[in-house]
Amino acid sequence: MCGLLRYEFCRLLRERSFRFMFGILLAFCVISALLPIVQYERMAAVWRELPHDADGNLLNNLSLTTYSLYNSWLGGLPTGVAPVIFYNLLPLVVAIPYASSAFEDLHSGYANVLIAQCGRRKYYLCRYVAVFVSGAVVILVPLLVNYALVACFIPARMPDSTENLYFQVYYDTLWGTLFYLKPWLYDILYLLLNALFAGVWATVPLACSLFLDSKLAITIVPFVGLTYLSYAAKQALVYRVWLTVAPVELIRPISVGDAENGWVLLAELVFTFAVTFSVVMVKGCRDDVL
Amino acid sequence: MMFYKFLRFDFKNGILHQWKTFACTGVLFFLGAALHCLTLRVLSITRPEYLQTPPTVGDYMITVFAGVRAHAAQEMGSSFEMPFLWLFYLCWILFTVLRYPLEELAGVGKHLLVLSRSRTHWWCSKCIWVCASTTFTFAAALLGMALCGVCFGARPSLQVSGYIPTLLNFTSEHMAPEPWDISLLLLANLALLIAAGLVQLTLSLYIKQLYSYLFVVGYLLAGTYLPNKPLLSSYMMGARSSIFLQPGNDPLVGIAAALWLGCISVAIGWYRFSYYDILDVLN
Repeated sequence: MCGLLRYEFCRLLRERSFRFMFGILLAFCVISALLPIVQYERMAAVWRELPHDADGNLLNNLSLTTYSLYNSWLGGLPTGVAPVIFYNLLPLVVAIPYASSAFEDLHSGYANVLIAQCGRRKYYLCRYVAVFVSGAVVILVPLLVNYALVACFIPARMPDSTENLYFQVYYDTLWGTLFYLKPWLYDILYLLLNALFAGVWATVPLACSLFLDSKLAITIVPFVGLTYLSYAAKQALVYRVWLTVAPVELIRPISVGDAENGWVLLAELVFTFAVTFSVVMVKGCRDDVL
Repeated sequence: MMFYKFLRFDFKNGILHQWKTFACTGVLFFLGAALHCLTLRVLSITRPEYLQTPPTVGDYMITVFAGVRAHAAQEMGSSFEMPFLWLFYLCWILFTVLRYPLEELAGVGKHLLVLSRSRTHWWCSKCIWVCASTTFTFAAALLGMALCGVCFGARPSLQVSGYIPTLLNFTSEHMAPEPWDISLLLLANLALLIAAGLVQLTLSLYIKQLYSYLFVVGYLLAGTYLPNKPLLSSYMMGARSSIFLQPGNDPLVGIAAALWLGCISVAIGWYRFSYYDILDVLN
């Protein structure tokens, strides 16, 4: 089992699409870190020209707390096109690195060789774990790099709840209270949540590869389906319950639209995990390899 | 004559044999529009004044094509909400024209190309196929929405009712005078979708199909947030169109931009395909 898992991870690191997607996302996150840094440096240059007291503090109240790491990293940015693209394309992006390799293995017959050597259950379990990790890593590492890069230049000033408009974290945001007490913990929790969602969603194409006959379809159809369901769920609840239900909106560390409920996201994650895991383990183990 | 045979082959394999895709499109958009009925039912109780005149088929269609108003993200106190139905519509139609050309080239298309000895014929045929397939998918989507509207008692008209801008959150102080006819907006959508499909086809000669899809969707998605003119998706949204707003994006400018983009893509793709390695397709 450990040997197979190690082999899967070695394959993952050698996978061209994984490295390509990882590189693209890393570049995207670095560039989107540079923009707020440049903006902040410009503001800091202006502040240096303003009058200071004997202790070096600015005499004018400039609401410095609104210029903070917590609303400048990619997840916390309340404005800007980068987070909109990143989070809305996340379900498509996490499917690219490794999920389709299972499809290739199944159709090339390579999976049969591995199944003959270690058994179906172990093969599909290892494959599931590797795909989960590929999705989580490809999102988590670039986000961490973005966070670290922004932290190097923009101070982590404690956010003030009276200026919540600049952070877009409200009382009805998931862990909203925590944000104004321990913002670093809030960000860590959201980074982990993003990685968890990315990992779980990456396994959807893996489950689809047991049903669909096209590599493109297994990658794109779940993404398109999620977009459709996000609209449908929102529309079905409208005027009844004012809740954010789209997972790509719920995993953003800022509030997008209506109130957020952690149980909704948890239910979505558990449901997706349960369906994909059972499909992969049950259907994968039952299918005739010949 | 040979070009005609190429075209006939593509229409037979890429359109007639893909009837399931068009049917699926019709059903999906029928269901998408049906969700508007839920809203109408609520409105009939909470805001009966909105529905003094029966809704039109255009009302059902604009729920898909509305998108999001310009500068929605820059307004203080309101967060940017992604127009998921609009995004779905784009992603679905671009997906339907993604697969066929290169998959055909990886299979029987290679033999056709060798036998015909004309890469230009193959390329032109595929470009026409993208135009035709997009048109059919778009028509299937419109048909699905129109059917849904008619089933739920909507008037068969492309004029949009007065309550729609408020309902879809794009009302403004500078609204164009009624009636709002969306036929030109639909035409602009079709033209821009064809252009996006052609860009996607050309890009897939340089990078993998999946990445070309990702690039085109990302480009169109950026237009939801940024109201910049070079992001052509702005011309696809009713919420930013001069049909509803003054000043707004003129659909005719969108059509002209689509023509320009489509022609550039075809030319670049034709040049690229003239030395494209057909032995290594899809790798």
